[in-house]
Amino acid sequence: MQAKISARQITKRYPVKGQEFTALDRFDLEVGEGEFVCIVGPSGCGKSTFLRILAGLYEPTAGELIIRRSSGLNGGAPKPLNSMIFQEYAIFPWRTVLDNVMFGLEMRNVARRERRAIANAYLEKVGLRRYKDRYPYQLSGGMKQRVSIARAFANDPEILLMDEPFGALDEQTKTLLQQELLRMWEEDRKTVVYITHSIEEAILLGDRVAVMTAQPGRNKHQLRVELPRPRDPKIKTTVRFTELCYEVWQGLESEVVKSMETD
Amino acid sequence: MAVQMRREQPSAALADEVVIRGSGRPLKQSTLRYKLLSIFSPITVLILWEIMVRLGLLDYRFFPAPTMVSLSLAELLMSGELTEHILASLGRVIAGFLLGSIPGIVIGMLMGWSRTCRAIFDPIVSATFPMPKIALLPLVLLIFGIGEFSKIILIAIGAFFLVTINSMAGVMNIDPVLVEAAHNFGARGARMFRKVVLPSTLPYIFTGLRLSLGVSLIIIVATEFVAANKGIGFLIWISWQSLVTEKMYAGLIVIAVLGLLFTYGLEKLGRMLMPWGRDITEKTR
Ligand SMILES: Nc1ncnc2c1ncn2[C@@H]1O[C@H](COP(=O)(O)OP(=O)(O)O)[C@@H](O)[C@H]1O
Ligand SMILES: [Mg+2]
Repeated sequence: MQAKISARQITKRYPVKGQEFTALDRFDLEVGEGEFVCIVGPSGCGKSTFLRILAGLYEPTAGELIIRRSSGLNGGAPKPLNSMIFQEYAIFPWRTVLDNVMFGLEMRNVARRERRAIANAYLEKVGLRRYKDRYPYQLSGGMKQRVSIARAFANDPEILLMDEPFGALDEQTKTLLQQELLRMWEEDRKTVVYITHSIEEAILLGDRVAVMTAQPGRNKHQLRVELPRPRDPKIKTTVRFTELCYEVWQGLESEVVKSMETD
Repeated sequence: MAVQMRREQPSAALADEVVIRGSGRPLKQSTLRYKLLSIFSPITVLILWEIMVRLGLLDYRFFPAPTMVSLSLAELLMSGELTEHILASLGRVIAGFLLGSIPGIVIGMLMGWSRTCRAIFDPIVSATFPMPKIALLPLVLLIFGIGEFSKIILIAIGAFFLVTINSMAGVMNIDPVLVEAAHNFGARGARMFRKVVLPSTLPYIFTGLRLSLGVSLIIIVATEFVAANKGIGFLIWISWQSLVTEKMYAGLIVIAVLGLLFTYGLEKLGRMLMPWGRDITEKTR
């Protein structure tokens, strides 16, 4: 099988005070079509940097990134390559919920009526239909992230990139949103690269988990999560789940300790 | 829900339980009281003033009673004299304000967006901004003469700097993650500007406009003191010179009301253009 995303030896250096700061060091990742890959690593190890490189927002300093298009090849309509869901929500404060969800479609010049219909359908899916005329300041954190999720899904990209989307939410809201995300993902199983610092979350959601080292981010180890789908939070009570979590933790522990020392 | 709580008197030395109950008192009451207080305090001052003038405790030549001022204000209005002064000042302020703030918005936003523009304009703006613009009046009069244009230009200069600096700060303070998100969803060039940069900067632009409106009023009054034969500033000045103090007070009231109306109008416009801004509307207050 050809990989949807092949990132090879990706290195990113930032200029910091006249010196070079290596955020990401020869990082490799392959993601198959329709695969849900989670990246786990201590904070500051370059996860967001890598995701922004995938999104085309940052340029890698060295290495090679290949993303294979699957739409618009034989005269069909091309889909946007990727849509991102940010940890900071990054929804526009000056747009209503509905207008936020329509943003990507608007930029792609989808007709007004059609984009309204699509946005409404996704607002329904995230349970925000009633709030569609509200402004972001009138929403809770969980609702804001739902808007961001609806905005990305409504854009119908080939790849979804998610950067610790539920990192700032309380436990209950997080569990609920994980469930919603899994349900929506099951509908068309898009390729997903999902960043998290939560091991449990990575195992619950992912087909595969890639662990990163402390800064500079390198490949630590990877493991396949062969838990049955569709999944829901009940799976957390199984022994296999706990074992997988422990396996990830074994690789991660020393890295977390290292990242604490450099602070 | 009542917030007030009542505590049962703990009897003797040791109470075996402490009971706290809601008072059931409506919440509205308290805000009404403060509203009434803030209406009554200025009225009381006016009444005291009036009484003191009538009793001869205050010299009416310096502090004409509120009734005398109102009378003079009414006369000025009836004769059409006041309207003429108001229109003169208003025309100058609006023209100068537009002439200064529109380029201010454009140049300020350019400075915020492009480092090159900032490098070019920043030294000039930083060097001239702290200077009180009214100090330029003689220079402006020298160049443009005593006509309308010199007053308009001076207001424009005052407005320009405040709007420029605030617009620049607005663009520089855009949340970078919003720009990234917009870029990720395909916004580029003009659309990035219209859909993200402009709305995000708008609150700052309005702060600049509000500040420069205040400065415009200062400048117009000051220039009309010395270089006009019409306008509210002229009215105040000439009334002082001829010791018709009621008229001077009338002029002061008019300029205060103008300031209030401008601020109110700008706030309304801001709310209309920025319905998303909870913090913005609070800031403009
Ligand atoms: N624009 C930047 N300039 C300089 N250093 C940066 C920049 N962005 C991130 N870094 C640094 O690179 C490292 C990795 O950052 P990031 O990718 O955000 O980590 P993570 O998302 O894993 O917490 C951090 O040490 C951070 O301080
Ligand atoms: Mg991050």
